[in-house]
Amino acid sequence: MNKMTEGHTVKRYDGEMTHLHQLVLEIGNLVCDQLDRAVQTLKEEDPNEARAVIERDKQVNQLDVQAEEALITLIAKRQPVAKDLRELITVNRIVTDLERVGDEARKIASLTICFYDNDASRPNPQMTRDIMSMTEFVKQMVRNSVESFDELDLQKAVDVIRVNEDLENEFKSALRTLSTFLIEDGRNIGHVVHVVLGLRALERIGGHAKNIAGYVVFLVKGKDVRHEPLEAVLAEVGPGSAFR
Amino acid sequence: MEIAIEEKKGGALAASRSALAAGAKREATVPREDRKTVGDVAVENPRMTCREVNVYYGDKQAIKDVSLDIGRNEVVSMIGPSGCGKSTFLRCLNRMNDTIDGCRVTGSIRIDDNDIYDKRMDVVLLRAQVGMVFQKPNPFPKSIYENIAYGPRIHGLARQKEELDEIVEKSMQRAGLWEEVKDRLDQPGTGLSGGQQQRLCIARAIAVSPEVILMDEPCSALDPIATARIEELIDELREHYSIAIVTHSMQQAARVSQRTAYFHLGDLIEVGETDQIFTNPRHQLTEDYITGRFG
Repeated sequence: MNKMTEGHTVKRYDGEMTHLHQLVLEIGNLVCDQLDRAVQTLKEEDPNEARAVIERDKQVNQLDVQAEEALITLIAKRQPVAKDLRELITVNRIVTDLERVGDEARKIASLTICFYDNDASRPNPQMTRDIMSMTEFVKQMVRNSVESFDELDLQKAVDVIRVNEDLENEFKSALRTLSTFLIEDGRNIGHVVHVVLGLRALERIGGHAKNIAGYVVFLVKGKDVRHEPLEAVLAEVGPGSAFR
Repeated sequence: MEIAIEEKKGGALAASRSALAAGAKREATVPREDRKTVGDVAVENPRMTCREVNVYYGDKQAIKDVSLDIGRNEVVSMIGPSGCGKSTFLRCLNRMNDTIDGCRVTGSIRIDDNDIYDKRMDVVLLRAQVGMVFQKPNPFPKSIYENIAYGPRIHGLARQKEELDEIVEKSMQRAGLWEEVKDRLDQPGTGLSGGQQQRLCIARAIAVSPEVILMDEPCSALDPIATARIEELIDELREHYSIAIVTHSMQQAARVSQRTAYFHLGDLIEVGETDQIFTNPRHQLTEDYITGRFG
């Protein structure tokens, strides 16, 4: 419960808002764990565990549906306005982005099956190195974006938006590295394409974290910054600003 | 006139407290200077201009330095908890408070640049110019036709029967009532349904060619369908008139008005575009009220 969900004269309203809020945190934890596990399967060359990760994505989907139902019911019952309305719009968007983070984690798990299942052809371990290093980065982005929502911490949200540019650079750098494998031996093409897909999934996860951080700015400030450059977001949030 | 933006502050009150207790708590915790109006009280080319209006009932001050414009062809809704002064302010706009003993109004209220509290102002004419619709439909105990014809007749707006007929028909058409009653104009107005009676009262206000229509909770005694019809009518009437409406239904304020004014303990706390007020209010008191956190 935070300043956005508490304080209604009708206490049941607080409870319903808090329930939705908790669902977001639960989905956030689950998709971060999924991402962790997916990359771990790649590291440990474990296709069986990768299948378990893919199977577990259904839990994310179920929570997504559950949140959507709770959201619709709450809108119908309470006709929220002002910060309550912004909270619900934000929850709706965050849940959608988190569900897609789950989908991207599933894609990385599929990569493990593609590379290491039975008689599959294994890639050069150097090729997947950047996936490992980028994972920690994007996982922290997702965690921070969800925390910024939970704590209404605009500085944390802005940091996520800011570091997404670093992630983009990291992604481009990783693509350049992969191209050297192709130059060395054209037969690497199959593996390179799959690794690119894995990198792309991580880059998209970073994008979802950035989106979530943007929604938090909307939630607190009432201003839609999704399509604004970083400078405009900083101008809106201001230095050292905290939730009013 | 842009007045200082207030920081949001303070928390919500316990649910178990009564509205009165909540109000008293706010009174104690929100300093006077933090209750200056947030938002632009002025509009371009206003129909009515109110500046620093104060209303006293004996020693008690019910309205405190309220300034607000009523624009042309706009609906302004006034919201706030019970006892906040929104109805008192509305009643100042056509001097209905004159009828209350011990009521004193200071400040300036002008319509088309004429001071409505000027001694030379004809109050009967003013109330034709600024019509009013009340919470409970109050048709005269006369026929439907006479309910509408009475005003134009005493104000000398029609010289012949044909002209009066035309005013009656046009007023009822504008009020969305004509098709339902045109075949029974001689029947008593009190025999209509609640929603029809309220539209009859609106037609009666329209018949004397007002510039402004004041509505004091016009739908609170109506069912949802009748309410929807009145809301639709308000939207249509905006084409010809300025409308100020007091309502306890925030959803209604959000649906029908272009600007919303939030009153609290006699202060006009915030005024702004309705879209802004209901998505991102700038004052904590407005936010707390419209999100159901007190009041």
